[in-house]
Amino acid sequence: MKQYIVKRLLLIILTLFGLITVIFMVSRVAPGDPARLAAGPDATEEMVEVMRTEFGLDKPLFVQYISYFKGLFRGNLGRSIRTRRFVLDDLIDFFPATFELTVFSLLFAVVVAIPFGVLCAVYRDRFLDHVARVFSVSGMALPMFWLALMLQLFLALRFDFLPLGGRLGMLTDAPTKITHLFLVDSLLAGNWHAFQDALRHIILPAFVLSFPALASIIRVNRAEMLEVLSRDFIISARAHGISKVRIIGQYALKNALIPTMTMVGLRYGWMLGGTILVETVFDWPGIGLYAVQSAVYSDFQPIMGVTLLIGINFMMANLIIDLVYGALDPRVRYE
Amino acid sequence: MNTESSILTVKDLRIHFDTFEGRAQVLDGCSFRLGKGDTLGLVGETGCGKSITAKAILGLLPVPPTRIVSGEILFHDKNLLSLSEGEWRRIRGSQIAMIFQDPMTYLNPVFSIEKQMVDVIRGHARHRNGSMSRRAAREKAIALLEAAHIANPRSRIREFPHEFSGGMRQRVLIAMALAGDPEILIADEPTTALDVTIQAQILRLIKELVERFHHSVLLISHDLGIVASVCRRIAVMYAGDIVELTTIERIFQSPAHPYTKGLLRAIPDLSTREGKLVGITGSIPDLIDPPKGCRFHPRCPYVMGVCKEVKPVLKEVAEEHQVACFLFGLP
Amino acid sequence: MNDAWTNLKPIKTSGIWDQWKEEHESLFRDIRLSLYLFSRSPLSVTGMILVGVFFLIALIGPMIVPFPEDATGAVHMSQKLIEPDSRFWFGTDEMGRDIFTRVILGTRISLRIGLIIVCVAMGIGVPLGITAGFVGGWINEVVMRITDIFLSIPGLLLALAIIGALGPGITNSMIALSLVWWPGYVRLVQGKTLSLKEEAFIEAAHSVGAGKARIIFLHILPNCTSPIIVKASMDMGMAILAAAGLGFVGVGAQPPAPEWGAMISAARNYLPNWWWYAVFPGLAIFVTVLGFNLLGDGLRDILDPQSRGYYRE
Repeated sequence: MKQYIVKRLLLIILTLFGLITVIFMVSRVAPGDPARLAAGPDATEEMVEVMRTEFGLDKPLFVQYISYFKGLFRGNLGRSIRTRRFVLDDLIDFFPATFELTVFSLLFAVVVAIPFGVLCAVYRDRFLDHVARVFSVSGMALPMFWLALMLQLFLALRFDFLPLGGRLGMLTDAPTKITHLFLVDSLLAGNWHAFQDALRHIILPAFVLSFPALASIIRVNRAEMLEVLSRDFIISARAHGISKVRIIGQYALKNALIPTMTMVGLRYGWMLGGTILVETVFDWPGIGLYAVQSAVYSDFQPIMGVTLLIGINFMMANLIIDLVYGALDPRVRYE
Repeated sequence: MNTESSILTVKDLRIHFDTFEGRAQVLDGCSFRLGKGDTLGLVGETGCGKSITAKAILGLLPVPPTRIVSGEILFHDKNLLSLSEGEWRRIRGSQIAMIFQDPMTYLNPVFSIEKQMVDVIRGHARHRNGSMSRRAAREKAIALLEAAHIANPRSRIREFPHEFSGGMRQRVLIAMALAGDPEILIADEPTTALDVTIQAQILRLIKELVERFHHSVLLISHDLGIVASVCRRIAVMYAGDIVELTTIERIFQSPAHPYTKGLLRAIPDLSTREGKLVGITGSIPDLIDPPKGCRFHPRCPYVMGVCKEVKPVLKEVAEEHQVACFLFGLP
Repeated sequence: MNDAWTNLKPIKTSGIWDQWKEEHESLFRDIRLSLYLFSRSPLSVTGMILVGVFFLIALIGPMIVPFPEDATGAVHMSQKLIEPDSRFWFGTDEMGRDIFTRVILGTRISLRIGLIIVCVAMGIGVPLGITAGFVGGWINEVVMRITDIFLSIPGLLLALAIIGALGPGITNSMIALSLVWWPGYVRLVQGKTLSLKEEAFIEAAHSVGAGKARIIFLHILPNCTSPIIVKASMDMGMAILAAAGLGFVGVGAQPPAPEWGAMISAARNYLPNWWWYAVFPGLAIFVTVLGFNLLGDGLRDILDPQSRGYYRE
């Protein structure tokens, strides 16, 4: 098992290498001139050249490629032309917000969607099931950013129910930073007010982010539950007098969760991608917003940094999901 | 067999099954009795309704598309067909238990044997208005596995179904069926999915357990030989009816119904060296539109006019020997 | 040698047309059955209608819009930000342009974007996938590793990264999204080719001397078309959604192009009072993507029912 984990980690590192290479190769095709872009529209030729040398943009691409890797090994991910800070510092600043948002959204999606899927399977073709079917079909077609705006419109602007954006209200101080996750930190510090505020701020973005995931997971879980409930060992369990609750909630569900986990992993990926949209709408200071701002600016190094970070995040999540498979299904053996 | 000593009485059970092409009349007035310590075998071809009868006794049939049209199943004078789900759970496993056909698909692949058996045992204990701790249930499970002749039960109980061989898995299922100390054991083709050598072992096990614990047994099979090795009585089923109901000795010495005779003739003997395999001409009837009168009449070599019009019912023709055939008396 | 065999000729039926019909009889039956099954599902039919309307609007849109000059560039400050009424069904935007006109014209843009992305992705992915699956060996390994690299980060982010390298704009966003989508086709087709390779009929074709090209085009490719069609129709919707997302954050289509995502981005500044600006383009996206999703689902149910798998969208 340990060997398997080590093998996967090595694979992750190799894949990241490949990813960096691909993006470098793509940037070779680019016609623009990042130094000019960075210097701004009123820059003189001198200022553009200064930019160029400062960011190593005058060297050939291959040299930039090698020096990027050299920097990586030393923990240097380059500098942002836009913020003028080290990319690593920017990432450290912005990542916790995204992490908190995506994990919260994922937990929300899983905790809501899986029981819902079970209920839909048990009460098949009744009203609940039909509502859920409509929801799952439309959930994946709804543009996240539009849903975000509509919810903002109704809940924040028209009715002042929930805040418009950001992680905390203007008057609330951030809780003492231990994990940099506001929800966790405020609980740890016993700061009830900050916790409430952070919660109020995270609800809308998390809901929007988890929306397509809710739709898909309900759909998959329902289908898998229906399939498992028709299997022979369920008849056997009934014949031995096991209660319906246990049969559905344990005997069937554990089997149905196996394929559902695949969908959960897939949707987590989409959630990570969706942070680009959701953080923009809600002014959530995470790396999604950071990536968008860098892309608009053609600021290359931060984009590479974000790519690496999200890449690691996503691949680790897939590894965790694979390990969860092993825990759920005893037939899966990792040598 | 008098009614006082029978603990299970199936009376005139009629069951229909909705299919895409129409309504199949799978059971058409099935009746038999099972006494205490009695061993009855239900024999017939695939599709004759024996498995459905077994599932009906435990209420395991999915109610649409299956419909129980009429009849009664009396267990100690209580009609099982009128039970609520809660009452059913008190009976399933603890008073009537079932052993299934394919041990691979009838065991939950993601739970250990220990978990599955402990759940069953504790469930039964709860229904007997008591409770049992997990440890005590585990000990009982190990004892049951031992009774089913599984080696090293204490260590093997932690394993998962896919780590057992086919024969072992069936022993586990048998052990689970015994967990509630049931009065009646229904075995639905318990050896069909197993190798021939393992079959013999499992049958020996069932016999041994019956002798030890005095269950009443309803054994369902398509194989006369298997039934003969375990049961004292036998019921031959054809297309949803019981056509002959008697003891094992009499069925081999003096089979009465033409179908039974055909079955026995079809069994190849080690002594026959040449000649064709003898079968019964024709094929089993379409249950959606069954033949009028006796359902066997299109294939019967002794068919008479009345057979095509009126359906024969089981009639006693000798001691402990009933036949449903007009050859033994017109209606 | 039996002379009867050499002189054997098929009985001539009446004319070439009837011959062709007879040869393709089973194909006709399949098509009729598929159409019948499809029409039994109201959701699938709805999807088909929505997609049909989408294509129709994209085609004839420019001819039927009430204010064609509002497509780009026109400025009518006197009628800016008017609520939806009988003249401007969806209201006007901050430059006084009719939003209904712009949404209709945006249909054409979205159609172009979706078609190009899916076609390019198929054009790269399908040949690569078939080659990798058919030839096997190290080519297969290399192709699959490269595919894995592309699939190692979420699609939207990869697109953003590529756009970050290329620069914002509608063409670049199409390039980026095509690069995001092609690996899905490689995986799909490679898997199918691998399993088809093992089938008996391929071996049979081989044994009667069919060349590799013939086997690929006549036997393998036709069997891949069903899952490809299903995936393509679902991908159209998802690609349009992704492109709109990129347009929304500002790296896709640029104003004043009437692309739905870009319009919603501009509309952000005018919430909540001038709500119509954001609502209608969003509805257009939703209905379009919903149509493609329903169509794709329906197609899958009749063309490829076993694959309840969840491929990368």
